[in-house]
Amino acid sequence: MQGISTNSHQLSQIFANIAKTFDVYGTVSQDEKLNFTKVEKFGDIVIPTPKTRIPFKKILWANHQDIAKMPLAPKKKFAFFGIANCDVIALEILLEEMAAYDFLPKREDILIVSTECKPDEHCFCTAFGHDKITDYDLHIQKEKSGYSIYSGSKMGNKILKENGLNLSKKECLLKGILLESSEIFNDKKLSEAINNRKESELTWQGVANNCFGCGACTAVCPLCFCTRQDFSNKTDGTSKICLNWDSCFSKSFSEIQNHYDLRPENVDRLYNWYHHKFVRAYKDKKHFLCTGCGRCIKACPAHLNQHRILEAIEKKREVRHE
Amino acid sequence: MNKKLDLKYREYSIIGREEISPGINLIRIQGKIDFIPGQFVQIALPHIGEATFAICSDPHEKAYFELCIRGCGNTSDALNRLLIEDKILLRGPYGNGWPIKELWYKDVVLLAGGMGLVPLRPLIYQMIRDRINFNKIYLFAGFKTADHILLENELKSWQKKLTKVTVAAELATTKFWGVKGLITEALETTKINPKKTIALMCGPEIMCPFCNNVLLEKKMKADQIYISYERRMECGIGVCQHCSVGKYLVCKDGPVFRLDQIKDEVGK
Repeated sequence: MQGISTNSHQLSQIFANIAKTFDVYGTVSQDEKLNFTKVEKFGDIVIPTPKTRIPFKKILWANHQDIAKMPLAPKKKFAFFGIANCDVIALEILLEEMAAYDFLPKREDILIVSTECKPDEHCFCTAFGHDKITDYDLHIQKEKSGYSIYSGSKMGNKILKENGLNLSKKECLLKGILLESSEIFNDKKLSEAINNRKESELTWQGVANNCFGCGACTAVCPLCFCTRQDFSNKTDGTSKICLNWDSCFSKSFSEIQNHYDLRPENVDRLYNWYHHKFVRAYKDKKHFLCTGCGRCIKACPAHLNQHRILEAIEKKREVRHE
Repeated sequence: MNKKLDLKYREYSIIGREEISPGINLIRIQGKIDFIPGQFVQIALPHIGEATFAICSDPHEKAYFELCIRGCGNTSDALNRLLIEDKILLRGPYGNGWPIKELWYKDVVLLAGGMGLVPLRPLIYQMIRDRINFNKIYLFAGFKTADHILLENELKSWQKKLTKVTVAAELATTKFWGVKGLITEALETTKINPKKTIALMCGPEIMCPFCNNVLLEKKMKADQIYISYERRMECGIGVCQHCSVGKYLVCKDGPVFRLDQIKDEVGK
């Protein structure tokens, strides 16, 4: 794939034109902290893009959403400008999971301008074979001097043309993911290994013994979308029904009447998390609810490494705790 | 079957309330709702919460429908305190319901434990209406004590309309009109034809394996046994993941499952 070399001035112009028709969200640095939020100008976007602690799901699948205001109907369309490849894949999967419902905008109503990612020690997207940049409308890559831009869709071509870029003049090469390639999972084998809980019961138990069950991994995961219906009551007497984020690690998650808990132990709840992501979703839609972004590893206060856990389960061996 | 997967609430008003057992009310709600016996609805009370209930009235009734409420949480306690003309918010019905066509021209064994009688009640009404389509119908309803028996008058009236109605109370007193003990004991002594019988079951989680064992001992196969599962449901449409049983979601794929499909999934 070849792209057009460009500079920050030209990209600022493209950004300004996009912002006219889209609500632009991207990765920016605020008070030395990375945040995925509304972006005002191109200069604010961090390129190469590291991952933010909370991903794009806080925009599309927000915590504390008013049910009466669903389906989500923004005044302007969404543009995600400055988003890493793993999150682009996660976005596609989330839209596919929610395809049967009217909660999220359609893919054609979202403009994706992905940017070169800056992997850290927790990333493992290559283990799922996501080593190529895919599914973008536009992709921006940092070069030695300036930037290069690539179009991956008709919408991308249209935007480049409107901004006076010559599509035929291609001189830069699209880089892959700059991450040490790790052993690639065999999707079917991994799914079957997780489905067969009895064979790896000791491993699951070992992981659960080290897990605090705090649910930090579910909060930061771009593909954890479990919700709970709650009432937001105000002093003026009004009440609205909200969809709040929930975590399958919480004790009351599968409790039925008389406080009878169907997943009483942490190991049951932990296993259910993996089962949903790698068995239920795979059987249903042929994808995993994990792209290897590594946010869960970074967020885990018990220093559990989900990548190593998956490897251990696939190969049926003990997990070595780091 | 209602296939719209939405979260839209409709407002209904209560037109009747009757206490059928201590702490258990049968509330009658004005309006018509198209449902298959065994389906459930989500009832929301603003400021308080939301809960899942199976519709328990005759599906042919056009003027009203009924819900049986046992107070065991915020929402159900508040529902039990509502009076006539109070409003509720409702969405649904959701779920698949009982497989009525599978029961045609077969013997039917209905097993209900406590509140498990509630989702079976619309089915019993429908089977009585189309009695000619079914062979023998056995109903086994088990309760904790004789005071806990739900819909006592209806159970008595069904004795004439169904082949056999057995009401069992685990801790019964002498005055009790049914049998003392568990429904599994009554089921064991009942002769059934394993080749042309379908069993439908709804009750507490602990009851199902014992009933399954008795039925399987009677040479019934796992694909002849259907169980309606109780789970915590938040959305009812397959998003929130609270009600997962292995690879299935009770709200979307259930609540009624065939035993051979579900038995490997329970506990996952």
